[in-house]
Amino acid sequence: MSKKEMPFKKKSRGREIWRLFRKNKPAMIGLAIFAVILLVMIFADVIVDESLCYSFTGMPLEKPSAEHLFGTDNLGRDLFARVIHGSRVSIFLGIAATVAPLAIGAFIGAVCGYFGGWLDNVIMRLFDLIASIPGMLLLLAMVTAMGVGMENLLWAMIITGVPGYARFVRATVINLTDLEYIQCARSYGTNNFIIILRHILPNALGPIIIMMASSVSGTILACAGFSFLGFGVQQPTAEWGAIVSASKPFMRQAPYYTIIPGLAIVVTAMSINLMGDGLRDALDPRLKD
Amino acid sequence: MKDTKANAAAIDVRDLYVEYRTDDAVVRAVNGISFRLEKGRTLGLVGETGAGKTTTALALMRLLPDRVSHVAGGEIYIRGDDVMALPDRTMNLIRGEIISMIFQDPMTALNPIMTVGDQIKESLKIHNSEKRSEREIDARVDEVLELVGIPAERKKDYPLAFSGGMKQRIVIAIALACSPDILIADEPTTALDVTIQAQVLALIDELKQKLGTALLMITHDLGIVVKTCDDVAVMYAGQIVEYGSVQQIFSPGDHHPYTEGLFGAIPNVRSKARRLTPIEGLMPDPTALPEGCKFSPRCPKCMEICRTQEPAESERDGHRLKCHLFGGEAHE
Amino acid sequence: MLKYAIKRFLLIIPIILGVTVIVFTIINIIPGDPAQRILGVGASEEQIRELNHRLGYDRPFIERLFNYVRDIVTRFDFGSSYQNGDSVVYKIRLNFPYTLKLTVLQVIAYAVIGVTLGVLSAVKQYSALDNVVRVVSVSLAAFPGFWVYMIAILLFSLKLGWLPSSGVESWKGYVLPVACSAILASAGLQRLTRTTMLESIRQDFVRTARAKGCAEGTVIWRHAFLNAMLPVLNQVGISFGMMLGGTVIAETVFAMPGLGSVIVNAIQSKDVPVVMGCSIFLAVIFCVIVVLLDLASAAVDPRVKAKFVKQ
Repeated sequence: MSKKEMPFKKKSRGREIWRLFRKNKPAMIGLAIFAVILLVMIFADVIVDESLCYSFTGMPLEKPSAEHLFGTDNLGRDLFARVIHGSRVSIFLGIAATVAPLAIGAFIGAVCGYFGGWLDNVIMRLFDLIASIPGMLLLLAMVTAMGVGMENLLWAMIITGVPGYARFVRATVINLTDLEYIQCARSYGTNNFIIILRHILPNALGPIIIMMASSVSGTILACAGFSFLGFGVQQPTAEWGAIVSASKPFMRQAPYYTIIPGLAIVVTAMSINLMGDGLRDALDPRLKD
Repeated sequence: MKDTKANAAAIDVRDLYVEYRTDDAVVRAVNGISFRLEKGRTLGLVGETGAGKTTTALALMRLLPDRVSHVAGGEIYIRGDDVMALPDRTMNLIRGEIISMIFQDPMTALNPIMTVGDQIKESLKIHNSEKRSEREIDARVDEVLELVGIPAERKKDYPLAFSGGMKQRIVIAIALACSPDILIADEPTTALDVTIQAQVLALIDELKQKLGTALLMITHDLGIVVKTCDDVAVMYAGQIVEYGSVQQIFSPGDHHPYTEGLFGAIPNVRSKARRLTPIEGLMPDPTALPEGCKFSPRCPKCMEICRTQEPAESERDGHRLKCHLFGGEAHE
Repeated sequence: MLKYAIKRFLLIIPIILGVTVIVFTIINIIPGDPAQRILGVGASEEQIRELNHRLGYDRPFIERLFNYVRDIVTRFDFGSSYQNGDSVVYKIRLNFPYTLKLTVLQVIAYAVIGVTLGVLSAVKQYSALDNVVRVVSVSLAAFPGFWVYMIAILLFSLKLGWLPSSGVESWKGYVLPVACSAILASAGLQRLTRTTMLESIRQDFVRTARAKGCAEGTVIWRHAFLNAMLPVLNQVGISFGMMLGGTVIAETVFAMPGLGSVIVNAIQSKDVPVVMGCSIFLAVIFCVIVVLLDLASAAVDPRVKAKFVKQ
């Protein structure tokens, strides 16, 4: 196969996926909403100055008005600014806490699945053990050890996430390794790492992407939940979960204070879910129900 | 009412049509078939895979998967009752007690998480018009199992503990538990190896003699037809192309080209003269059936008229043919 | 079967041991000075050394691990709180019943809602009900639990005044946390049940059951559902474990005195033995549930049983 053929083939597969994806109305709606959210994230500084998140520009618990679109919080900070800028932290955390453990897990899983042997055995038994501890408890234990904070939360999400992803990728890779063309490449004496990089990972990419797409929104919710408990992003940083948490004593006087940042989480997670489902159906039509 | 029922045929099918719907196509599986099965008789329904035999049987039991298929026309009477018009509850009482069915694939036809005894018992409990006690029902389960040649003490086993042939016997036991008046056997031996085939056939025959059941035998094996049937209906693409007694079908004379083709496709040990002549081509695509005679694209005797006009049915002494070769004058 | 059950329970011991070691390691291996953390920046070096000695932190990691496990095994002693010296076992005995009650109620509600809607959805595939349920269940996956709890309080406690917003004094206090988390979680179970039921309904033995004359309800529940139940049962069991850990958020929002609240308070006050003891306890409970689940699967499905007996 010449080198010129490869990009063409890849492109046509991408086009086919895009064609299937485009036909899926909910997925396109999800994509549109998420595109808007991404734009808001990127141009947050243009929309509203970040300093407004931290300056006390109004009276505490003002109702939404022209001046403060979403009202103010209990300290008189502009909620609109905090929710807009909170998107950066919340979405970044969600994506980073999915992609990082998935990348690490995929590497470990691919190596274990491809080579097998005693190392695979040891690592997998260890991961089995970790997986037999409910994730929430593991995260709490990590936080206890490392202390609260956004960076530590990210580390904890990575460590708790790796075993699950590694087991998933390992299973996928084992199925692929059994295929004849891989056996064939092996019998030619092709370098193992080239086989993994060239043949196995690209073919495992579909399931991995599906896995990622279906995990991102859950991770966003989990990170927000941790910040809500006070173990993740710390005050005064604007983050959706933390804002909802701070609103708790003022629910009666200022329901919008609770409702608006929560809705931001819901809309984001839902748009990602819709896209994820569309992507899954496009990548693997067999999974469609 | 009683009288008409007593005189009525076990099965009476009139001009039955069945369709399957998929997302973008309508599959015409059964296209206007009619036949009668009298009490205590055996009718063979033969044809290749996909001819609509099983669909016909499921329609008789009103067991077509209702989301994708439906009866598109015609009438079905079981002992004089209009099957299509019966309420669900009555139909449930008829299934299993009046008419029951032996399914094709014994490996999947049994519930894997119920003991075989319980699966037989379930039928007896539903159709317990004689108010049998629990003990009597258990005794009947033992009896039915022994009848199909399985030791009664194995009723506590799950299907996974039985071989394919044994499972088929259990499927038969379930079908026979309530001594039905009508039995549909859908390729009861296809999934079995040859020695067990013979045993199962002998068993069905023996039961028919004992219980006086009317039997609808669905098969593509002509050997089975000769051994077990009184009458034969040859099906092709959802139609009955030839119908007659076993003598009529298996003796030389006027036959539908498809029947002749089918006979040619079976290697005959006794007459060495006949060569093996497989039928050219495949069954037509049921979503796009040919114009005129459905068999015309594969028919060695195809004429001009066959491609445009559907042949009418002609009859002599109960021997029915659906072919232009035997229209009106040829059969007078 | 009994032999298998005993064997299965014996096999749980290394798992419990492994889980204990992992949680202990995670909490203790991170560099840093526990006494420093407890006493804060103002403490003198002397004080820190003294406290580290008293808590045993001056001894090597392996020795501490060994002592910890030994105390649990021989005396069922999970250590005691830095804050007030209460033993962790005492805290568990005091607070776990609330968590257990909450979780059990949640799991029951969750299973009933998820399974019922999943089965109905599958039986009436592509009907209006199926479509509505599917849309709702996909949407629910986007709702964060803590926010739903707060909205529920806002609506049912503050606006309508029907139910209390916190506390466990009466059964009413359990209604909101149980209902909210059960509904949220049931979305996943509904989807799983629907998929497995759709497969099961198309099986030949379901047709055999119909051919026998079984009523539709019997066909659906006794034949189709019982065969589809294995993955569903498994999911319910795993959710039980997840919910045991997950009540942390519900307990915090609704101010319930369960083990979750204990853990949260302990983390805030850096009370390591309490977090460790409670986490290990809950993780062990989870392991026991998984084993019970395996046994239940074997009891329900002879195919699973046959696999085990062979081994």
